Amino acid sequence: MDKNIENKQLNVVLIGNPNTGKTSLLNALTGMSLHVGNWPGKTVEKKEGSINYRGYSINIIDLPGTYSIAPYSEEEKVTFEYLKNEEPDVIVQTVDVNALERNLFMTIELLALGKRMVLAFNFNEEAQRRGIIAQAEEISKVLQVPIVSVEANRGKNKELLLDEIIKVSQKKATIPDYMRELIKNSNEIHHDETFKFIKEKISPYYNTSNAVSLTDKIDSVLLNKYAALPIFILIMFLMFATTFILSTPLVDFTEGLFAQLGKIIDQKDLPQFLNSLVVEGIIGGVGTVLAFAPLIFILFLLIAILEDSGYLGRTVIIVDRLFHKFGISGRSFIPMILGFGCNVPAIMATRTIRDKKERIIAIMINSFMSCGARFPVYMLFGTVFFPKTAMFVIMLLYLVGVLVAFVASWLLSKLIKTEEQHALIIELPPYRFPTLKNTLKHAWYHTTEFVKKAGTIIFASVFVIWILSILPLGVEYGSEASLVGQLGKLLTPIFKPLGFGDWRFAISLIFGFFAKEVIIGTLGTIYGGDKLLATMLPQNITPLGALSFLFFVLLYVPCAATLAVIKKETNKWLYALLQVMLSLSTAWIISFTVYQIGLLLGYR
Amino acid sequence: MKTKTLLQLQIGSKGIIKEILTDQVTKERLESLGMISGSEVKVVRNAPFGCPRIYKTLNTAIAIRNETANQVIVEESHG
Repeated sequence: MDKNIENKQLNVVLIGNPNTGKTSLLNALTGMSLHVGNWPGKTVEKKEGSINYRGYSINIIDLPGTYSIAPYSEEEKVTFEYLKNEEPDVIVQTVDVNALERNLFMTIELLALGKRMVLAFNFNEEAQRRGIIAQAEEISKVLQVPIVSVEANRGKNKELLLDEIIKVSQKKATIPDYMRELIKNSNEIHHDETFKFIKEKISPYYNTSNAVSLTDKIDSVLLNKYAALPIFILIMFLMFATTFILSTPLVDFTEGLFAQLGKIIDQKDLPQFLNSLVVEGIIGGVGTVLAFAPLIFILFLLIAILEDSGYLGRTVIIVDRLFHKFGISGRSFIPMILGFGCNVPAIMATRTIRDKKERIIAIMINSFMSCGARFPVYMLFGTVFFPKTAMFVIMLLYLVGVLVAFVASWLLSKLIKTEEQHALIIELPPYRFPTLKNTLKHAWYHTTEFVKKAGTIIFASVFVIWILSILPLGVEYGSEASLVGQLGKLLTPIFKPLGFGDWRFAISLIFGFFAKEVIIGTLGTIYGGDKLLATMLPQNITPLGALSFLFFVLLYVPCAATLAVIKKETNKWLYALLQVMLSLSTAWIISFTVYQIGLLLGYR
Repeated sequence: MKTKTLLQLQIGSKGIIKEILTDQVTKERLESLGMISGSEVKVVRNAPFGCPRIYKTLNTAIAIRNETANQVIVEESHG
């Protein structure tokens, strides 16, 4: 403790263009494990970490990537506000040497502020492979700023960088003398002047004339005029098919474990009350949900690969023209795809959308994108009711979610007052091979979040359901006469025309509002366990009713966490409320249609 | 020298940017991404529906919509 007090405090901020490795660098310097992406807009919030180094306690802040210190979209404002209000000891700008000249535009803007700076040249090895030569030493002399060449993702030369940061922090902050030349006319930095300066003074030390680009070759296939869309659809198909096929045996296995555990405890001769709580409540409820942890892991692993490779950023331009017809732009697509994982970070990712109206639409339609928490519900019902076609039923659900999102955005774009249309200008980052470490970290993070959720919100919901299932005292557990049964029965008239008039489904939907996984947690608790679920469910619902139920689960209402983030990002409860009404009515209408048409066609 | 708009450049050809006639905010955005008066731009390819198009400038790939590209004046470079 004493040592810490003696430590000198240093505040360091990481600034730089998108995809230049700020988050990687923060991870490398502090040992944190934030997820790194390869698309502009990955980091939308300020992130912070610290490290003790050579008697200094260095606090490091990672700001969202930005191309200029003047803000363009919501997430870029964070950097602007920070520079305006805070006084960091040292600014570290991460620079992608593959696009050095463009990166230096912001360097000049930052230098003009007269702050202490260090440049971290990143992706040097990639540049070398591509035949790009940047003479860091000479460039440092011209700019009068220290430069440290690093490989942020591996943490190479991080000590050198920290040493330089400490060294710079002790110097006086000055504005380099050439800057006077640059700002002589207008007292502000003009891109034109900057560009002239870079061309004259830096270009001699920077050679890209022999640069080869593997990215161009990959793009000629993935963004091919005719193949791009089919390839995209194929990739999405493969993503869900892989998740389904790989996780089926794993989920079977974990389900078996919980069933086994339930049996062992059942034989332990616990007091009946305790036995019921553990076997039916905790294992039946929480266990049913937890069994799907492998699915969550695989789903997020694949989404991480999509992000890290650089492909996700490109989907924007594949769909832009199409989306234009629905009143939104390709920009909205990244949050939509991220919504397949979890709607909460996906909605935060809409900050990259500059147009306010479009951003609101992107926020409002996001929960129609079926998140990872709904997948277990589909999988459970799918394997029970449609054992042979489960995968296709699940894909149909995803597809319908996307279609509803389109229709909703088209409608919303007609309803919400139009603001000016903004141009779509987007950088396509180079393809990079996703690192095993980064993708696993991402998947692991979401899996632990899922397990945590099982231990907190799902556990709490299941506990409440268990209490309601045993009360009033003496009632048969989880029967219609119990409190939970009576409560559910109040709502069944609403769901009867949709084909799931049994009270158990009504209750599961109510509790599913807290988190979608709770839907199967509730059913697991009421039926008293996962294995029983498979045999008991068909007694209370027909396959057609189950299908209709799944459509309802897909669309009916965003979970509590998503609603909270909708309120936070739009700053209005009104939008959260609107969202609830919009999705509830959509869900009801679609489930009704599915069920009634199914009946007419003779299904049941 | 004959000038064209960026949109009029064929895929594969290059030009030097002369003037950007968009609104100021868009102009500054283009500039900070490297589409700036004096820089060389190459038309790389069309997106699947012909819009946006992908350009390369200052070793960076950028996609912009055709209506924006039509407001960027270039001088086609040969060879």
